[in-house]
Amino acid sequence: MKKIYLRRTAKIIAFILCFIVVFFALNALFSDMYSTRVRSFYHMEKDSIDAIFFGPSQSYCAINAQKITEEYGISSFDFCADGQPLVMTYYYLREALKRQKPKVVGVEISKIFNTPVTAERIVYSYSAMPLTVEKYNSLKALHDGDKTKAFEWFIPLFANHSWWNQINPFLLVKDLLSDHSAEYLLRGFEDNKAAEPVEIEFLNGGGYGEIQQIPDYSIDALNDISELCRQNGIKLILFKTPVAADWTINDSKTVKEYMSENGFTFFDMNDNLDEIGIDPETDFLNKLHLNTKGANKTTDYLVRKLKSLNIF
Amino acid sequence: MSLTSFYFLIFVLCTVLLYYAAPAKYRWTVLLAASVVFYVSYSIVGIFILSATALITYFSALRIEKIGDGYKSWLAENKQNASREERHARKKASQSHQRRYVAFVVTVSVGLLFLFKYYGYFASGINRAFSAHLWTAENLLLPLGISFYSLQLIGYVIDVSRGITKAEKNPLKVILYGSFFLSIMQGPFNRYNHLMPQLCREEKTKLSFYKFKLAVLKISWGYIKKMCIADQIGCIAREVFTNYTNYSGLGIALGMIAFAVQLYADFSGYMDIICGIGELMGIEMPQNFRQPFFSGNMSEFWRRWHITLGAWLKDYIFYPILKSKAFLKMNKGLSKTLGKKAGERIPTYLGMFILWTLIGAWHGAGFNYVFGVGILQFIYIVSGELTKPLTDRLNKLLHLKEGSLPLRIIQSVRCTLLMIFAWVFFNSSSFTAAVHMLGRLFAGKPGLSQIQAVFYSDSGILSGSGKIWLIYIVLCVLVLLIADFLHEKDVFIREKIEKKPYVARVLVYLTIVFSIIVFGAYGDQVDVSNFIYFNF
Repeated sequence: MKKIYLRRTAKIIAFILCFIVVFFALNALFSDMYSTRVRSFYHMEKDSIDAIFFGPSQSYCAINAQKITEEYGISSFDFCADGQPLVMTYYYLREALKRQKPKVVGVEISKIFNTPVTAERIVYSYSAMPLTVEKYNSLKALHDGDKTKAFEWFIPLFANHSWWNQINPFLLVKDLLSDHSAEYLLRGFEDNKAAEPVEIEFLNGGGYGEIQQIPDYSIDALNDISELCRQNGIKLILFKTPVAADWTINDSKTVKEYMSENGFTFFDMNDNLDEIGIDPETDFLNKLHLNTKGANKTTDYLVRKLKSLNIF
Repeated sequence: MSLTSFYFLIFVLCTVLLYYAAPAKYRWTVLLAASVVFYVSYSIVGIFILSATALITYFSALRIEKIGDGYKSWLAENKQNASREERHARKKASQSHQRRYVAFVVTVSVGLLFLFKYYGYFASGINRAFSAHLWTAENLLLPLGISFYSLQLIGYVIDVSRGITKAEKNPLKVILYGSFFLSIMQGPFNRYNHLMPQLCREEKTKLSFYKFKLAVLKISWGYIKKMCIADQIGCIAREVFTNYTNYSGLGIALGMIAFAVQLYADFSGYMDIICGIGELMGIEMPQNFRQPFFSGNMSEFWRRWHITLGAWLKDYIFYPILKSKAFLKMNKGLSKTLGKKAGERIPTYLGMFILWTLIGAWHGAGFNYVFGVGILQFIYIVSGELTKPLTDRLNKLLHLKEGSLPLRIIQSVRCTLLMIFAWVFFNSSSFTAAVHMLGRLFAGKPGLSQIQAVFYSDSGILSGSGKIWLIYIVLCVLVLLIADFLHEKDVFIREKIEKKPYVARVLVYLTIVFSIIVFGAYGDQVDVSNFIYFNF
């Protein structure tokens, strides 16, 4: 009888082990579906980054962390994510601080007003994140505290399983086996050479828009980010990239007032389009993102600005 | 608490553990508590309506049995003294008295069913037709399982009046019978004398590891059918049925086939899940599906599809109608005037017409239901019977022997196509919409572009390659067909799996689990539908 129970237990344990192996293999298959800047962050040497930039895609398209590192000697990284709201930024920062001790944190605040995060963006932002408490808490915060949804998005296999009909296993194996060093060199920056002429309403005397209130959860997130930076001796700067399609003059006024009243360092690059040298004909990938040409100009301006503020 | 939710799995685990932890005598109380908890997770008010209906049934059944016992004791005392006429009159009076209680239960149950399910439809119709302002019961929510427990309780009280089952002395057991969580949502229709002895048995039972594995395999297969087949393919059916004006020809046909696959996988998947859970507790739930798409004719189809509904309606509606005085009189009269065959057939067909109309109406308040799963089925069956001599002659001409494989295939395909056609009415928003949709089946130039249009619709429901979806649909149909074929040949797949070597079994288990995880329709990115028959 004892032998039967022992054999049965051994079989159950063997099954569980097989399950775990297959689970993690499938998990890897479903999490490496997208090449994201999240993956390359974990290839940076520990405690090697002095400046980390956060924010949505406007940030990783506008701030050339590779340029800052190579030309200005300030080791930087764009630890950004598609549609990253401030509450996500807070947890990204917590995650980043586990491996890095930056002196400066820059947060792009395009999403300070109420912007929903879609399922696709969650997939893109979190696919390659390791299974950490920060990832779980971030997902919970994004889903208004819903633990079930947070758990579902936490594990890539559960989160991304519905994309089974789009997986090309050959491309995936190719991606897994190929060299990503070029991607790592970019340090989270997205290199886009294409250009599309855009219209900047600010330059034509327009773009005032409605007056919006900064939502409470953005304010809470800002305070959390600020406190976390203060605890870690990090200088926090908040900025808006020179992209006006999702930004209005009234938005800028509201945010400047809030930042000034609450002691945040903030500057809106849309106030300095001429100084930056933004050319609406050549510097944009699309109306919401700069291309590399525009990004390099913006990056140069950013470094000058930060030096003038004695941050760099 | 949806059957496909994580909470339901926890609920089942707790129920099974408590079931085996409890002394055998009180295990039924665990099932009652679980059933109440399950029901209350959907509706608190509904449990009171169910309990009230069950208690009315309980008291009525006791009265019916008392009346019957009263007659039996009188008969025992007066058998020698009483005349034949006196005994006959006494018996008639006793039966009439019993029938009044049966009628009372039927009135209450059917009345509540009508109020919650049908009243609003008719009231809205009257308001539209006569510009009236009748209350349309918009705020009344359909109590969970009312279509099932109403009929079950009626069946119970009729069985007591027929002497088939003894009246239950414990009212809580009658409530358990009505609310049993494994069958409250979508059936099957249980018979009191089949279900309750199992729920209330006092002998201690154990769950062997082997039976546990078989049960889990059955439950898993049910989840594969529901989550991987029904819900995935259901996206296609939903898109085509909702936006049928955007599609034509093969696109409409794709939607029709998709719905047939969805309906079968959904309903039979649910049955597998609840039967598997029942097996975990040693409870045998009645079979509700028996490879319906392998039927040779429509009568056979309905003996293989939703078996317990058909059986219930036959035992409690159809046969009583045929045996009623009016129908026997009709039989006699028609036999005299039109001959014996007509005398038998016409009342039978009339009875069938009533039966099928009720079956259609049971499915929903709308002519599309009454027609699609009611009158049209009657037409199928009767025309099948009337044209049998013709089809026999045709088969002979084509050298197709009765029972031969080619003939069985032709018959099965014919039955399947007839049901796919009928289900268009079942799944459409109205009779008119169904007719329009069927009209679009013959519109446009047939070609692959009509199918591609479904996969590249603006709805965004279907992401990914249309080719992959088509392959997936074909694979799902094949999997269902192979499983059903093996069952038809009395091959017990689960037992075969358990006899295989350990490595083969692990491969099967892992395939099942990861099929559900990868291909299952769950999560934020998927529009998950409830079980189709849940709406009844």
